[in-house]
Amino acid sequence: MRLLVQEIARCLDCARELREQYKLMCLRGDATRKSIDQLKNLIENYLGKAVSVHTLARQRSSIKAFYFAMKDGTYEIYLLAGMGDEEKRFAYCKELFHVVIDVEAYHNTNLHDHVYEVVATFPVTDSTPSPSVQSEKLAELAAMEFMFPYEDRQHILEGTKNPDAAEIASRYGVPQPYIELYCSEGHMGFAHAFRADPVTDAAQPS
Amino acid sequence: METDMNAKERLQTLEAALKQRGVVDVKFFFTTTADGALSTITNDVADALDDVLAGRVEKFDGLNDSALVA
Repeated sequence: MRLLVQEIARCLDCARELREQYKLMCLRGDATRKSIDQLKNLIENYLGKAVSVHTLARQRSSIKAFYFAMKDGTYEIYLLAGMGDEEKRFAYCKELFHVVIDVEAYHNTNLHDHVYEVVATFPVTDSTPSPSVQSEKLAELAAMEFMFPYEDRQHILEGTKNPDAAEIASRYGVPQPYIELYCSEGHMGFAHAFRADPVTDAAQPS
Repeated sequence: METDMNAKERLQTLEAALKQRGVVDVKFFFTTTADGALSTITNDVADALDDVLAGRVEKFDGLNDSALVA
């Protein structure tokens, strides 16, 4: 799936800003494993966005969680049952990042078209879905940057070619498949272009 | 890719109810292991939204993962 470069940069910047604020404002702010409860408090207190969170007893579904933006500017998150601890942390964090990165251009209430487009475009590498569908991936990128940032991945990969994904997953509280994906060569190459404070030789004025 | 018409109609009905409730955007976290059939996913989405509209939800008290709790 193709994403707009400026939107990737904006969403990663949002995640980095929240990481900085988390360090300053949260207890044990420099801990490797971030508290998602504290992230929610930060979103409410620092960004001023009200979020209510609910659970559903339903499980074994095609979805793990979902999110509503409301007309009055508040947000609702729903978590389905049956997720493991790390899966639940990540699903909660990803939905919270929908709140963080929310802009009107992402809004969509045409449920059928949205679901159809996700199914049709997510697996296709060179697809260019609508902003609404792109935001599903952008929220994931931002959540990962918050929970397991590029700099940490780079540091780990400098130390070993074969990192212990299970150990990292447990340390950061992120599901192992996401650790493996985000530490992969292809993903690191992509993330390198969007790292914080990139060396901007090519952009220097002559 | 075909959608079960009943599932599509269910979603359209839910869509109207959500708009009436003040919803301006909906996003989903899909499972990677889900059966990729569009009709299955559409019905799962409709079932979950039905739960919300019928009030079959509970307030989430958090993960209790903050240092204050530990």
